[in-house]
Amino acid sequence: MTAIAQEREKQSLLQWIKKHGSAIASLGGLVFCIIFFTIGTGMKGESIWSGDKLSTLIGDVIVTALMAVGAVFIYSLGNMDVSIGKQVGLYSTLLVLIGNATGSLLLGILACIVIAVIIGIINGAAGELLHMYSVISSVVFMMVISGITTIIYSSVGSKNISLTGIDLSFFRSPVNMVIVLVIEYLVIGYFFYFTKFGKYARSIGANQTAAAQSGVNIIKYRVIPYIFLAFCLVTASLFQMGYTGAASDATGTGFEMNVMVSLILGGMPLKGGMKSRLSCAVIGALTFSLLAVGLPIIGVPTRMTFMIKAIIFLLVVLITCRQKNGPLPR
Amino acid sequence: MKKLIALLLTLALLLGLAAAPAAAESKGKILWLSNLNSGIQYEFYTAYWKMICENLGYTFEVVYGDMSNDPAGNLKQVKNAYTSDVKGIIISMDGGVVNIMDEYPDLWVVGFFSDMDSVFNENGTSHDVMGREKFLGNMGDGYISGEDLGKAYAAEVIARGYKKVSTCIFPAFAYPKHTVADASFRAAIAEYNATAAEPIEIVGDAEVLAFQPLSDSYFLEDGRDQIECIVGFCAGTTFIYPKIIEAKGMGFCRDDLQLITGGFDNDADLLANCGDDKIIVSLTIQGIESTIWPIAMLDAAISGNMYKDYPGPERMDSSVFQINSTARFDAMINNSPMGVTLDVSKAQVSWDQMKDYFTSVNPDATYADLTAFCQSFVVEGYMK
Repeated sequence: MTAIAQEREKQSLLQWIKKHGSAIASLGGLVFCIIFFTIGTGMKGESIWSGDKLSTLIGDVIVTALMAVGAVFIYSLGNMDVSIGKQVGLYSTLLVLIGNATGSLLLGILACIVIAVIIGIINGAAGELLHMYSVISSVVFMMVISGITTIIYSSVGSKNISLTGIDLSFFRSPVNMVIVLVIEYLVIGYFFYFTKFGKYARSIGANQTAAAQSGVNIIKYRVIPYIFLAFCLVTASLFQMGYTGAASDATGTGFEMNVMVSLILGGMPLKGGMKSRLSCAVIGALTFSLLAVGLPIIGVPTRMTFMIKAIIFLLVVLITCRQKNGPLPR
Repeated sequence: MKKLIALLLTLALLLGLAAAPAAAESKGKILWLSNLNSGIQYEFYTAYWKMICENLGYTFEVVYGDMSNDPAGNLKQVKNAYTSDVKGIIISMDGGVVNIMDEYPDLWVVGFFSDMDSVFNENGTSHDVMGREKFLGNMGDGYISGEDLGKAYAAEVIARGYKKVSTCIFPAFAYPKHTVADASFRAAIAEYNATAAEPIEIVGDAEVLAFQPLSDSYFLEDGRDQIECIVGFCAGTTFIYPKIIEAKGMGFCRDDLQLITGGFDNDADLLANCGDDKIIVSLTIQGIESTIWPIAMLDAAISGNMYKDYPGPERMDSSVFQINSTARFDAMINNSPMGVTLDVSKAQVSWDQMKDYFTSVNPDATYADLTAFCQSFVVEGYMK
C-alpha cells in the first residue's frame, strides 16, 4: 500500500469517527457504564446482572424507553412534546377507571388510543397551522390534562386508585417488557428508516423550507410522527399502570424530562434532522437507568446519585452536543 | 482535548466512587422511604436514626420517595436503593406499600410519620398489607385522628380569646384528615358558642390550598381583613405564613393577625416571629423522639425477638409537641436538637436511656412499654 493510500485510509477513518462521534460517545458511555457497574458492584459483593437487579433495571427502563422510542420521531422534526408525562398519567388513570368499570383493559386501551391520537393530531398540526412553536401546544395540553387529572381524583376522593380483578402479570414480566420494547423498536424503526414518514420527518427537522420546496406536505408529515408517539404513549401507560396496578394524580410527573434526558444521553441532536437515530432512545434510557440502579449498589448515598447523574449528563451534553459554530445547538 | 478531559473527569469520578471503602460488617441495612428531603426535622430524624442504628449494629440509608406519593414512583425508588443486605424499611409514604411488599416479601415494613390511610382504611388501595406478617404497624405524624387535631386547635383558639378566625386545609382527596379536622374544629367552636357571651365567628368555609400558597387576594374578600387568627391544618409555615407577612406589609389584614398551624422550621426569620405576641402563636408537630418506635419494631422483628405482647399491626398517635407559648418556643430553639443548628445530643433520650426498650438488648422489653414511652414526649422535656 502506498503512502498516499495509507493517508487516505487514515483520513477516511478520522472522518468516519468525526461523523459518528456523537453515536460513538453515547454508545461508549453505555458500554463504560456496563463495564464499570459490572466491576463496581462485584467489588461490593453484589451483581447488577443478578435476576433481581436485572429485573429492576428492565422495570426502570421500560416506560422511559417505550416513550423515548416514539419521541425520537418528534425530536427528529426538531420538536419537543412536554405533555408526554401528563398524557401517560391520564391514560394510566383511564385504564384503571375503565378497567374497574368493565373488568377488561380493552375498552380502556381503545379510549386511550382515541384520545392520544386526537391530542397528537392537534399537537402536530397546531404549530404549522397557527404559526407558533409546536412545543406551545404541548404546554397547553400539559396544563389541560393536569386539570382534568385533578378533577378526576377530586371526584374519586383519593390520590391513588388501583385496578382490581384483572391479571396484570404480563406487564410485570421483564421478558415481556423486553419483547414489547423490541417489537415497538422494530415497528417504529421500520417507519423511521424505511418509509417516507421517517425520511420526511428528518428532512423537515433538517430544513423545513427545503423539504416544503421539495414537495413534502409539511402539516401531514408533522402530524404523522405525533400519531406514532400516541401509540407509544398508550403502550408505555399500560406498562406504567401494570407495574403496580395503580395510578395516582402524580403518575407521569416529570416523564417528559426523563425522555429528554435519555435522548440527549443517547446522542440525539436536539435540533432534529438527518442525524436523528432511533438507537438514541434505547441507549440513553439504558444508560440513565444503569446509573439509577448501579450507583446505590456501589454505595453511593441516594442523595448523591442525583448530583452524579447531573454531572454525567452535563459531561455527555458537552461531549455530544457541542458545535463548532456555537456552544450548544439552538 | 476538551472531550478527553471530560471523559477523564467522568472516569475519575466513577472510579473514586467504586474505590470507596465498603461498609463495616453489619446486621443489615434499614431504609427510610422519606417524605422529607430537607429541613431540620429531616436532619434530626436522619441523624437520630443513624445513631440508633449504629448502636444496634445496622446501617441506615434514606430513600427519597416520590414527591407526590405515586405508587410506581415509590416502588421504583425503593427498588433502585435495594441491596441484598436490606432487612427492614421505615415507610413515611404509603403510596405503593403493597407493591413494595409484593416485590420484597422478606422485608420487614413499619410505618412512621404518615397516616397510612391506604393501609388502614378498609377500602384503601394497600389494605391488603394489614394481613401480612411482615407489616409491623404505624405511628403517625402526631394525631392520627383529624377529630383530635380539630379539637386541639379549637381549644387553642378559645383559650387565646379570638373572636374572628378562618381555616385553611389541603384538598380532601389528598389529605382527608384535614377535612375531618376542619369539621371537628367547627363543631367544637359551635359547642363553645352555644354558651359563650361573645361567640367566635369562623369566616367562610375552609380555604382549600391546592399545594399552593394562600392566594394574594385572600384578604381582599369580604370580612377577611378583620380576621384575628388563621388556623392552618395544612403546612402553614410554608403555605400561609409568608402570605401573612406580605399582607401585613400591604395593609391588607390586621396588624395583629396570628397563625395557628403545624410544622417546624429552624429558619431564623421564622423563629423570630414565633411566640405569644408574634405572628405564629402555636405550632403542633410530632414529638421527635417518637422516632425510636419504628426502629425498635424493626429491630425486634429482624433479630427474631418480637415483643411478646405485640398485638399485631395497629395505627397510633405519636407523641405531640404543642409549641404554643414563648417559653415553649424558647425551649425548642435553645434546648432541643432542632434549634438553629442540629444537635442530636440535646434529644430528650440518649441511647443509654432508650436501649432497654429494644428486645435485642433487653429480651424482657414489652411493646406496651415501648409504645407508651414513645408517646410520652412533650415540649416540657426540653424545659427541665
